[in-house]
Amino acid sequence: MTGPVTPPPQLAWLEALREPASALEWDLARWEHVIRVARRLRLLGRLASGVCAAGMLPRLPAQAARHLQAELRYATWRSDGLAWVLERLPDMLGEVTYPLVLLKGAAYMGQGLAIGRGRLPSDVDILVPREHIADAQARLLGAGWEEAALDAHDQRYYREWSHEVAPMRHPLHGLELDLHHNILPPVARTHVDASLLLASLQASNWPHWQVLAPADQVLHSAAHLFHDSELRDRLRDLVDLDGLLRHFGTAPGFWDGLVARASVLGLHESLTLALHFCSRWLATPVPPEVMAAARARGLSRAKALWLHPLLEATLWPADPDRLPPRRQALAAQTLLVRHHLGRMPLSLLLPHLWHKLRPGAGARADADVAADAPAR
Amino acid sequence: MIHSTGYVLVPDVLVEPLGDHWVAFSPSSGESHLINDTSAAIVEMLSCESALTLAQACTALAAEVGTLPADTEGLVHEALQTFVRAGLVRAVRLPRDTHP
Amino acid sequence: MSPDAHPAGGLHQLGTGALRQRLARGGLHLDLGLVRLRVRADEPSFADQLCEVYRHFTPTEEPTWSDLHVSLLRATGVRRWLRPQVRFISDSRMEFDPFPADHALPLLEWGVNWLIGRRMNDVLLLHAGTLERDGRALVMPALPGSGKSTLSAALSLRGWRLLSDEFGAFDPRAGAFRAVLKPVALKNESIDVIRRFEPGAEIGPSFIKTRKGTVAHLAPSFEAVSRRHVTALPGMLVLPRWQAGSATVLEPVPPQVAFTSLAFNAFNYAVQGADGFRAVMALVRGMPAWRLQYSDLEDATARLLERWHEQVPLDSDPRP
Repeated sequence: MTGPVTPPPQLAWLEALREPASALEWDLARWEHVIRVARRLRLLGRLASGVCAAGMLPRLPAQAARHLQAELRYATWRSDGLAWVLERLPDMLGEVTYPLVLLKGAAYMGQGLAIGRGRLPSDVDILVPREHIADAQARLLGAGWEEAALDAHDQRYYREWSHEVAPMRHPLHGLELDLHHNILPPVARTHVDASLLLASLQASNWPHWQVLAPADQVLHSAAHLFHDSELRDRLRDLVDLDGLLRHFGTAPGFWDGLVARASVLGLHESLTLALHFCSRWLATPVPPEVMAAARARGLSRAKALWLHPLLEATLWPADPDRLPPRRQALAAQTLLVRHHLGRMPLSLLLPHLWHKLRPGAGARADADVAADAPAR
Repeated sequence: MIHSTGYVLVPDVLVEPLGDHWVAFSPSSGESHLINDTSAAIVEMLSCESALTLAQACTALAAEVGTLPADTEGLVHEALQTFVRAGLVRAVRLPRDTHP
Repeated sequence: MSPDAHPAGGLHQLGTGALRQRLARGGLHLDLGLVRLRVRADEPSFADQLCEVYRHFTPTEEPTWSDLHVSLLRATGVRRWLRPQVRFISDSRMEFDPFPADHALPLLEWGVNWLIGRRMNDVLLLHAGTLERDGRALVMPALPGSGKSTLSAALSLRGWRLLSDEFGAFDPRAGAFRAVLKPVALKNESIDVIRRFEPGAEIGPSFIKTRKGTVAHLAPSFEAVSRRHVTALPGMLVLPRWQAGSATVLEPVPPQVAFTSLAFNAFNYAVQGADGFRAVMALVRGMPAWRLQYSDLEDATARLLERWHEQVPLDSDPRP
């Protein structure tokens, strides 16, 4: 294992997500602060779930306990809603000859992992083989799902240039369904061979649904984080990664397999970044030789010099009493450019961005969240 | 083997009378539904343990209401599909020869 | 009622200078009953607006806890001079679009309601005007065209204690309703209606051209503020409907109508799951339910009181 690592003090509270008992020593002021930060990071439900499961709720200050209880109810409702959609989906799809794969949060829930609890899913991510994606979409449309309103340009973007078909929504429950055929866009400079992922699928606890192999789940989570356009408030993804690594890390051969798999899939940079931040901020127990091997194939020193600080600035949770610092906004912008460059060739990127930025395009919807319109 | 479909009640469903209606809550779907007498009668026939086929439900309802099973089929079928979508009832496959 | 008649301590007594200071620094702490709110603001006009409509609230002096942390901050950048705006921020997130800078108070009210509706899932939050009398709650679901805010304001000026004009906050463990005490939002014609109904009513400044038209707020009374932690057992359910020129009609509604008016008109019914279902069933079984159609506020409030005396048991209040 890596030598004893002490996470930065501002992140020390994250330990309570894994070891709820560590929260027993928190005073009222600490609880107030943690609840605010955790809520912002979408980790409050997870904290509440762990605390409740440990039977600790009666031992907490009442003011804090009610917020945990309240958020747990909310997260349970959202998660149960997702589980219900996933239970109904195989019926809606009918008899299919291809695998149905859960991704991300749904996968963690479907495997009964600790990180699957207390989540706030707003969409459903599933993966099917590329050659069957049109069929899957047709079946869903037939079962009452609707395509999110996108114009022809955006539709083409999703279909040809990206790995997702446009998100679909069901009028009855409003959950958004993202149908994937790969974990990264096919035109991205990093190209992942989806057939390798499909060849290693495993069963989940839910009938009809499968999940990626453990190493692939880790790599997907890492790639999804470090290739994404928006990294602010994404600390939760590091927490998920930490959870996956701790859970699967006890299996013999997992760590060696992970590094090897990262090479095969071309995701060594994402893995190195994931291991770097998880070990430093969350004290994830990474075997030193694994760390060394990942570093050897990961980013060049030169790249790490500018990328690490950018990522640190962006991933660091904002002080709840302040708006995020300007530095963070700048860092986020720089990473956004990097994201778009990585996602599409320049020849495609420019027309796409022009389309997005021209006057009238994607005009911000009127946030008419009237106080007297019930929020379900 | 040819299969037929049976219907079972989802566990922990709550059904309560309210005036001359009933209200049902499904823990799977999280939905609450206002249902009428006939629908409530159908729900009451179902149990968690043993599955009821469409034919059996029609016969039972017909006997209660005083009509012929064939007359109730459309209604019962519609009701059962609605209940499945609402998470009150689950459809299960039965091997053919369990059908009476 | 003149604010001077009451003991010192309300915001009104604190004065806008001191108020502005607190808002700019550590924040102003207000106890609304169900939640404790901390407000910070740098918009100068805001302190005056707050003073008017929260006049009988005493700020918490040494707060050890706040449930909601809210900042109303002037938007920065070039905008500042062209069209000044104010932003609503909670836990470093800006949840909605900014408002014009002189509409900070409506933004606060709207934003805090949104936060409560989204976060406070430890209780069942009905969308209803709720008032207390004789230890029991009158619950008026917010159906379209109900005029529930106007009716809530009127009742609060006729001896009923306001719990909330927006939330029926039912705590199933306590089996009682709790106050979420905030100013009553009056819109358009209702503002003058309430002024005529009660000339001494403490109504704050009017804000024109909001999303809801012209909005003004009725300050909760000193009594409502001092008793905001006193709960109310279920009393009577009334489904109001304002209809121009209508005579006052008050007639019973069947239980399934009562059920849907509560369950399908709540902020977090679905979130409560089976507990929500059971709580609403208990409320429907425990409260007589009426439909009120009216156009004359005086007559409606009088008829309601009559019916209340007939229907609601006057058992001694078992709560402390």
